Amino acid sequence: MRTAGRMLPETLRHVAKKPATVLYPFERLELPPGFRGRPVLDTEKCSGCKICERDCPAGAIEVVTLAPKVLRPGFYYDRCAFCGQCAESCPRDAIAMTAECSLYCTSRIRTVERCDGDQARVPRSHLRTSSDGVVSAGLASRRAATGRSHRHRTPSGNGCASKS
Amino acid sequence: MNALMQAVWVLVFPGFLFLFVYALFCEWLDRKLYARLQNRVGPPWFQPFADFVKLLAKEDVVPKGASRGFFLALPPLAVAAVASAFLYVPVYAERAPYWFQGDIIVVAYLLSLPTLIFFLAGWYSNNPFSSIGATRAVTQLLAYEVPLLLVILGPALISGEWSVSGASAYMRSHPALIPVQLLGLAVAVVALQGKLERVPFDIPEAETEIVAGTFTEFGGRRLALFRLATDMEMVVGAALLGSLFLGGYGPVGPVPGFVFFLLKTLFIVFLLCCLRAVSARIRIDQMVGFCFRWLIPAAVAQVLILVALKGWWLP
Repeated sequence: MRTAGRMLPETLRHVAKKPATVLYPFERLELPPGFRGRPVLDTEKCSGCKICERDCPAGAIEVVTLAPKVLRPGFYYDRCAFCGQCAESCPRDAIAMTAECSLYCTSRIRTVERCDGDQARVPRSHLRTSSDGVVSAGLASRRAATGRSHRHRTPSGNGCASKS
Repeated sequence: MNALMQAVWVLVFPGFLFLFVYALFCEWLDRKLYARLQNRVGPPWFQPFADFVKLLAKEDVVPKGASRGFFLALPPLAVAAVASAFLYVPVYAERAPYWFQGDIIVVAYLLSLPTLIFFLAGWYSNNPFSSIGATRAVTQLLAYEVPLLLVILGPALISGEWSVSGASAYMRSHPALIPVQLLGLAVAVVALQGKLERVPFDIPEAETEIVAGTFTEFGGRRLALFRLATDMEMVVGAALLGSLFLGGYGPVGPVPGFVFFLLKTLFIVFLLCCLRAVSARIRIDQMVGFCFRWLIPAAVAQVLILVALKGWWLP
């Protein structure tokens, strides 16, 4: 400490000023343009090419078959890292990063979104029952269903929504 | 009637209940002021009480290998030591409820008991972080206790009274002595910061380094009592310094005297908080070095000034 107390006059001035704290949730900061919030799908533009599912670094996208020849991605928001790779990779610009960032919810199931607009249900083959009986969707079961083994990114044992 | 008055003195005012409420209030003030100095909002007024109640409701585990007896006995003992010291400090009247000649020594002893209790608590916790915190606490005790006791001795020397109440009465009747003791007040505030284990001297409980130091294995009620003991220690220390260096309280009457008590202790708490806000934690060797190189010579200088004053100018 070179001169002890050199900071003191400035510190004392802070008492008279308004605190710099943003009183969330009563006050909110302005989000800058380009802020990466929740990714949402435009079902009209989507062609079902599955590039987003391949490129997602968190393994948070799962493409499901809604109808013959109709494939659409579903998003696992509890796994999503909000990196924007899906929006960048999509060749049809069907995924947009909205500015929604208050994504708290009390139910694990609601963090899974399946194709907004259609509200399609999770395919039966992808459902697993966890130990206390709550039905949830698991990525590990999806791996078993599609038979793909090259996805090593899932954590050992359970998928993202397996423990509820 | 006398027994009832004694019970009120000890338990309600200026005893345990008042000390409890005032300790929580001073903790709030300290935290709020600290936050405001850092441009933050700070906790609401009931936060220290809410923390205390929450801790009381939590589970308290005694780790295997730790001494059950010590875990049981030490937290209430720390609170008891500090609360007893408060009975010798004058709050609203000229004389403290249980004053006697020589109670300066008793107060100094009772105030150094919590540190020894924290040492024992950490030592018998069967935890390496606690042991490190405990040894640092007693090392720190060696460093700050010497200057603190020396400067507390000052008013006793100059007044010839060996009670806190008497020394403070003398200081009040000779207000010209207050500027003479300013060096002593500065030394005492810094040493008190060390005794209370607050930044820059919070080495025994360095959260970023050794979890919670001495208190690592304590939870629930025991931690609540330890935290209460440190809060009360701040109030008692501030009250002691206020009465010895700032001229004490009364005898203008109980109500103005009490107001003076509040103002002076809050001023000391304000000084402690500012010291906390502008400092960073120092190492234990830096702390001991600082105390022996600067605080102790300053304390000795203050005592010499007072001795010279007493010998040549004062009756």
